[in-house]
This record gives sequence, C-alpha cells and structure tokens, in this order.
Amino acid sequence: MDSLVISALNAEAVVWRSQQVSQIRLSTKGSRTMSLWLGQCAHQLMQRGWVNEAIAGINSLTLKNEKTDKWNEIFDFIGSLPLPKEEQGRSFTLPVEYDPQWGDTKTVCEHLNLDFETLVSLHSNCEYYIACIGFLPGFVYLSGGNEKIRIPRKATPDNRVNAGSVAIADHFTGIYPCPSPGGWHIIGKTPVESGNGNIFLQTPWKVGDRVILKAVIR
Amino acid sequence: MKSETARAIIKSKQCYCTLQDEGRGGQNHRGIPAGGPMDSQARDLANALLDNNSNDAVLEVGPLSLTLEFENATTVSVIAGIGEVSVNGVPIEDTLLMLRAGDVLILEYARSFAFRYIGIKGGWQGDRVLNSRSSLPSLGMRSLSFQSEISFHTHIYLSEIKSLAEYAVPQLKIPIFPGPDFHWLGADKARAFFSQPLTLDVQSNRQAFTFLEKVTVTSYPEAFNSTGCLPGMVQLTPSGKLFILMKDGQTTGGYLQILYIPEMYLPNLAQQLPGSKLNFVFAGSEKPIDKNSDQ
Repeated sequence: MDSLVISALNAEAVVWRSQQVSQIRLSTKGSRTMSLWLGQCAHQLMQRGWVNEAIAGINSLTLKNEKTDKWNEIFDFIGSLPLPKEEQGRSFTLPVEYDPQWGDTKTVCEHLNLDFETLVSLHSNCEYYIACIGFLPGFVYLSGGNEKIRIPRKATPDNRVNAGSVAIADHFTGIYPCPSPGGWHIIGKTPVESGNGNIFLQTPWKVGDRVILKAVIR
Repeated sequence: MKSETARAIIKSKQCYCTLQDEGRGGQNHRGIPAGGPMDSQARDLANALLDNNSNDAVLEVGPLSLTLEFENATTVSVIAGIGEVSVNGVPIEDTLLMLRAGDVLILEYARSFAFRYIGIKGGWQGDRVLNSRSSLPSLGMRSLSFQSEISFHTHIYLSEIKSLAEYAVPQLKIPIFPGPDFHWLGADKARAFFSQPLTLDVQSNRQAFTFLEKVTVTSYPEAFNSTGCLPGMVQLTPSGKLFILMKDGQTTGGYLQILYIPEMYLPNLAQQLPGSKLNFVFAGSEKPIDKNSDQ
C-alpha cells in the first residue's frame, strides 16, 4: 500500500495497486465536493484515454489500465487535479410520486416514527447529489438527504422491484433503472415508460451532479 | 455464398446461455459491466474456425444442457467437451458442423469445462446495445430461454473438418493476491484458508463465482462505503462468503474487497465445473507489484 495526497481535497488517500487495476481510497468522509471531484477525475482519465475504466465510489476511485505503462503519470495527475468549478456539475429534476399505500412507505413511517406527510416533506425538500453509480446500470446512490431519513437495508431482499422505484437504505436514496431484485425500502416512484429497457441509459448524469426530487402526492 | 436472415430456436426448458461478442468496455462508470465471453480463448477459436471476425457474436452455453433447433441450413463451430455434442441424436466429434434446415443440435450437461461456445458463420445476430450484442437483461436486452429465437445469416460454407479434442482447459493452480481490504483478513488466515481445496458453488454464474467453504470472520467494519469493483476482485461478506466478480459482475460493491485475481487467470477459473475442487495459490505479498516498476 502506498499513499497519495489529493491537494484539491486537502486529503490523504491509500493506494492499492495490481498490474492492471488500482484503487484509491480517500481517508475522509464523502461529500458533494468530493463526488464532484471524483466524477471529474474519472471523466478526465477516460477522456485522455489513460484508463479503460474509471469508477467513482463514495470516497474512492477504481481504475483499470490495460496498458499498465502510465500508472505514475496517472497518480501525479490525480494528486494535482484541481477542484472542478461548481457549474461543471449539472442539475436534474425528477418527479417522484408518493402514496401512503405504496411499497414500504408504511413500514418506513413506523420505523422512523414519522407521519406520511412529514416523510414526503423531509425526503423531497432537499438537494441530493449523485454519490455513486453502480449495483445496476444507471442505478444512482443519491446522498445529501435529510439526516432523519436513515434506515438499514432489508434483511431479505425483494425478488422484484419495478423500474422507476424510488427507495431508501442507510442514508441514501436510490432509483431502480430496470426491474431487479432489491433490498432497499420503496417509498415512491418516478414515472417511466414501460417496455423501454433501462430508463436511465440515455440520461447523461455523472457522479457529483445535483438531483432534485419534486414531490407529487397522489 | 448466399446470405439471408435465418433463425435457430432454443428447445430446452431450462438453459444458461447468452450471446457474447467482445462486450462493452469503458462503461463501468455508468454501472454497466463490460461483459464479454467467460473464456475469450475458446470464443476466439469458435470464430477462427469459421473465418469470422473475432468480435462476431457467439452463443455461450453454461454448464446446463442446451437443445437448439435450426430452421435454416448453416455452418457452426462447437467448442465443447468430447461426448457432449450430438446432432439429431447422433453423437458428433467434429468441431465444424454443416447443419441442414430442421437439424437439432444438443449440448449435454458439461463434463469437461463449464462454458461452451457455438460460433456461426457471420456471427449470431440480435439487438445491439451500446455497440455490443452481449446479453445483459438489466440493459433491457432479452434473456435467452425456452423458445427464444436467435437469428443469423445463412451461408454455405465448406472447410476442413476439425476434431473436438483441440480445445482443452489447462489445470492450473490459480494465484490469488491481497486486495485493497486485505488487512481485514491477514496473511496467516489467507494462507491457511487457501491451503485447502475449495468447492465451487453451483450458484456460481457470470456475475460471480463463490465457494461452499467460508472464511471465519472475526472482525468486519460496521459501515463500508460502496466502492468500484472490477472482474477479479474478491468480496468477503460478513458471513464469510467469498465472491469472485466475473464478467457481468456489478461495478460497485458494499462488501470488503479482500483479495484479487488478475483478469488473465479468470478464463481458467470460469471453466471449472460447478461442484469441482479448486486449488489456489495465495501469493502472500501485500504488494505484488513494485510501485516503481511500470510493467
């Protein structure tokens, strides 16, 4: 293990490296600034053609480099990459339909000791950012939500969660881009056209972008 | 040579097969695994026998048996174990088969290696998503199952007949290296665990391979941030299960990434049959590659 100083974030990172794969873990907690920086870093490394894959995690960067002859340049680049300008992160607004009878809303309200209206208000009146994209193609981990909305994943995942389901686990909100088994608690849905494959494939969002959930109560 | 759209139909009630070309690399940041054949060498051979392009789609057939009925004549290559292939009930030992309309090709349950390949002259056709025909249902692509139709272009093609015995999977000890979270396991535990043969779980698939044996976990972090992962990363769950991520593995994970197998060894691992005993060699250094030696 080696370490790397990320000057833009004023943070130290631990570097793990094999011949073709490297992972950089920041020692500090995730934040929107960190996600914006990680997203830009991954994007620029891909654009330069220096890596074959670049995956931003909550506070990490995982890289695959089949050529394996550029690692030192890559680490130098990462260490000195400045913070992106705020406007480089974009903003997306998604309508979310809530209904007290849907999905796991009732269980979530009981667990958090909140009534339905308060849950909707706390969940939708904040500005999220994309902290990570993974698990499924286009599945976003939205962070930045209200601290009161925090719930462990289900002990046993559901066999099928519908595309467009808006769900919560830990302090994240996720949106299912396609039907899938899933262990998050479903509290709403964003309208999607059925039979359209993966709904978020054409959405050009990146880690660090802002997402606003606009509440629609049925 | 004539070329028109033709089709084959899957007649097995249960099967585990996908179309695979080179896959769709460079999309991991969108949560999309690269995919591609579990054993690219066997795929390359299937295409080379037909003088296809190496990126032409092949039909990858997992360990389960497959019955495929051809509605049109064509030439296929079959990379499978000896004694696993028949046409219209007659055992076949050739790798290149001239099939007539109505012929039924059967691959029995795998006995030699787990992932078999059926190439077809001109490559299998079908939907392309992000420039690849590699099947991935989470991209809205169909799964291949009972009665699925797979299209191809008919071609009359003659070539030298080649024997099935040409493809063999080497029996290697697979090296396994420390991963980013190795300190949660430690060298002594890793060495002891990998000194025993491990039994490949029948649940293993294109997403991940796993074993019946479990690691004894004495400590595990309370919270672990989702982190990018790639084929070859080995995840450890709090219950001690190891999951080796394969070609369709998820691109981020919330479990410790305890060990790592370089991608070059994955085809050999992929070809081991479910239930078989595997030998790994734990490469003990926490730092297998010198930071300054850019290899």
